[in-house]
Amino acid sequence: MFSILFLTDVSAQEFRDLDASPHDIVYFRTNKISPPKIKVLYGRPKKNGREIFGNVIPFGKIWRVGANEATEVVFYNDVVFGETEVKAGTYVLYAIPDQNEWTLILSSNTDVWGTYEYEQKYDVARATAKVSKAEFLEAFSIGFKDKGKHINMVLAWDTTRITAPIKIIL
Amino acid sequence: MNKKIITSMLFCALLSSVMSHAQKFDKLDSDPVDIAYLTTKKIPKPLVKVVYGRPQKESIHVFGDQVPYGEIWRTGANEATEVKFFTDMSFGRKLVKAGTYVMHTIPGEKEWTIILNSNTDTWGCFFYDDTKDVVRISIPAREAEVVDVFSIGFKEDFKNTFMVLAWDATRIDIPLATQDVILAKI
Repeated sequence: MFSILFLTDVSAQEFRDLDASPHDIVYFRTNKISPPKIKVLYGRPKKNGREIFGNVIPFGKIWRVGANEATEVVFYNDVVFGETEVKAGTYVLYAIPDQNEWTLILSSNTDVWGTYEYEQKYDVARATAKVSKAEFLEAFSIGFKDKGKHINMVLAWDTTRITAPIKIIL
Repeated sequence: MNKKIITSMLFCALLSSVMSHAQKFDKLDSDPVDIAYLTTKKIPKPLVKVVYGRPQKESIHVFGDQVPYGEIWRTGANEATEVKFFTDMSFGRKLVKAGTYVMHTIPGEKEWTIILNSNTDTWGCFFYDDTKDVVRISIPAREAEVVDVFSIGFKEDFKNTFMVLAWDATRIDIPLATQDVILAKI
């Protein structure tokens, strides 16, 4: 009889302002009109003159790879992420930044905020990713590069680039 | 050397400098993506998630001008608006299975048509295919105070839950209910 769900209070007049670190969507497709292979939904914080890696985002600590809601990755096919086979599906992407090499983590505990709900028991795969330098970017960005036999997922912010190879199993 | 050759050489130099960049990343969108969740205090996972683009008001009246009446609208900006139901639910009093859908609307002066379609991961309404419609409902439009940025939220009103589409002085309240709520009312 009392199975009515109590929903969080949202008054009719209150709608959220635009985020300072807006979300964005990036797709990887083999060509412009084909269905997507990978989708990433992530928050895009800005550098705003700060020292990012090793300071705002400390080395050795888990990071949400973006801002606000944890970053979400959708694989439309099974993939190999690092050395691990991962089933098609939706995952949260975390990272542990470091000076020379990052650890990237795929977690099955989706729809979470930041890293507060991160639990290792939901890890699906961990991969190491290379750090390199490139031109300056004000907003945190995620992109893909088709390398033929595999795809590089590239995390980019400031002059730092993190490259993680992903192989799509067809 | 005449001017044409110099211009074309300059152009080639420019082009190759652009192409030599290792990788391009998207610029920040002027109509950014946002996420709205419907959550309950009882269960840790959300019931509904909406991922949508948030354009700004650019004309005196948004609807009937910036967004025309009677034409299908992506209900946001850029990528089509996506709605995920984590459980089977009623949406505008029609039952919808748990899953991910694209939400399009046809705005009207007095009444809007709301469409859930199974053709996901599309851009705008350019790939809209009515054979993939899952739900089509009509909702009367109501007036409220002006919001400049297109917003989607949820509200609870005397134990009824609504997904609210809000832009300019227009509000569309779409009734939502879980199986529990429906059963409790029988």
